[in-house]
Amino acid sequence: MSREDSRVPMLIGLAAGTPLLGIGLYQVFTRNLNIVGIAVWMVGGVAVHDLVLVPVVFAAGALLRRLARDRWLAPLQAALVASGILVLFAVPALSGKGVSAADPSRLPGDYPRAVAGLLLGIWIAAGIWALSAGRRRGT
Amino acid sequence: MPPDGHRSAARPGFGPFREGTFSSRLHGERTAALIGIALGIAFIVCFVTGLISHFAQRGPEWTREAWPARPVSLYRITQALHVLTGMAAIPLLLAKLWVAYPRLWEWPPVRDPLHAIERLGVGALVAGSIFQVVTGLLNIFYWYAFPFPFPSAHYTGAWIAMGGLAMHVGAKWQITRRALRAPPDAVRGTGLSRRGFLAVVGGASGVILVTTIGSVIPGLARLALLAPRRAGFGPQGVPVNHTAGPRVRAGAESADYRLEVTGAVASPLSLSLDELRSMPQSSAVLPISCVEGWSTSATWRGVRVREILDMARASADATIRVESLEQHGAQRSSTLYPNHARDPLSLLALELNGATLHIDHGYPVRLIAPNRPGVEQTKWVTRLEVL
Repeated sequence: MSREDSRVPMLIGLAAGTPLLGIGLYQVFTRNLNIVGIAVWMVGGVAVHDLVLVPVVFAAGALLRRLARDRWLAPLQAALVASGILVLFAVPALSGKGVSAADPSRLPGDYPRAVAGLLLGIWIAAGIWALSAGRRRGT
Repeated sequence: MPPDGHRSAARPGFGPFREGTFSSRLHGERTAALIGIALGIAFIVCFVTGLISHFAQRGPEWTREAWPARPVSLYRITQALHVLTGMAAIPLLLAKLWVAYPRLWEWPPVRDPLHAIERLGVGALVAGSIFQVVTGLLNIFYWYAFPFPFPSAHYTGAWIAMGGLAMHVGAKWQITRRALRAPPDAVRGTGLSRRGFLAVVGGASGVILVTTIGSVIPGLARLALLAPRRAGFGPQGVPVNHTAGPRVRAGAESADYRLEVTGAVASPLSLSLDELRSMPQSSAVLPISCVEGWSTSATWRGVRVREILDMARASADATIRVESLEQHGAQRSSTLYPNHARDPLSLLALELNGATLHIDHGYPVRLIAPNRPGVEQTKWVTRLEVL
């Protein structure tokens, strides 16, 4: 925040946000929740994201910049980002933890096949992009 | 506050603190602003629809009593919005956190007290957001990996994330306006452009939406490749969330089965299945709408709840406890307030889509009422207790 900025919006946000946050914390202590469990999952989620997931993404990005030729760089970045998001989203489905023999209407899909098909689509699209971009530039 | 000269000199020259570590052209204010606005809107949709669901089934008694029976598909729509928006927000959240990641390592970590509070708010927002989408996603895929009851924890996490969001919106209000008003800055460098990055992230949200919306729209069920449910897929064309155990099955299939109407009534009833079948039957097209977001509409046929209550001469403004053959668990009973008890579409259903109820849909008798969370459409009904 630079010096010229008004602090009014920030103070309004604080005035609105503090009671909301207070309600949340009040729930933690009055709802007979497993407080330690909640805290571990709240802090653990941030820790896994900030200290594992993001560094892996940055490392992959740096490696890609070294290895990929210019015309392949953007399509490869796009394909990796899309694939990473898709696979992360599909982890609970792929795990099959929720499958129930008594209830076949739970998790009825063939999730590994669906993810494989979507990944194939992403990489075909990225390949077409790279090839057509190359042709446009005449390289 | 440390003097200015000390501040810059103290910046550590290693790792994420080093100037220039985060060299991507995609960490800019404009990217953060655009994704942030989309994500903020998505979270507010989730929060409002989540509160609606909370007050419909877990709020103080007056909110549950006031919950209306019309429109019949209101809960179906709010809960589909809640879960579909939450899932589609996952790519936006990942992208937003990546774009803003360098700020995690800003130097000095704290400039002044207000800045410290701002950062605490961001902490609440980030922790709450990740907590909400991770536990929400695990829950709808029935992977109970977390050591706490989901509904209370999700409700708690929502307030924490929203408190953080309100603080963050206030803190970033001016910078966001400035970033969006300025002409788009030319981002130099190679690789994915800002527009390309936004297209990939938005595209990922779109793919998630397309491959999950078939959990609520039967015509798109074949596209529901990544959804935990498919609309219309299950016994008699309706998904099941809670199957009959051996004891329930024995009670349901017994010749001794009776539907009792007891409590504050002038003439208590004890009706056999044949007696229920010989009463006037009504039909209703009503959805089963799960709190997990999926829903399927179906044709139900049975006896109107209000006709049974009138037969027992219960008062017109009575509240009813609907009890199941189940002995234990959260779904063994539900409360029917007058809005629903007196509604002509509220049935004790004997048939589903033209055939006798499947045991997992609540044979011999289940409650089906308009605009009601699926968990409260009590199955294997054996008693109406008029309160």
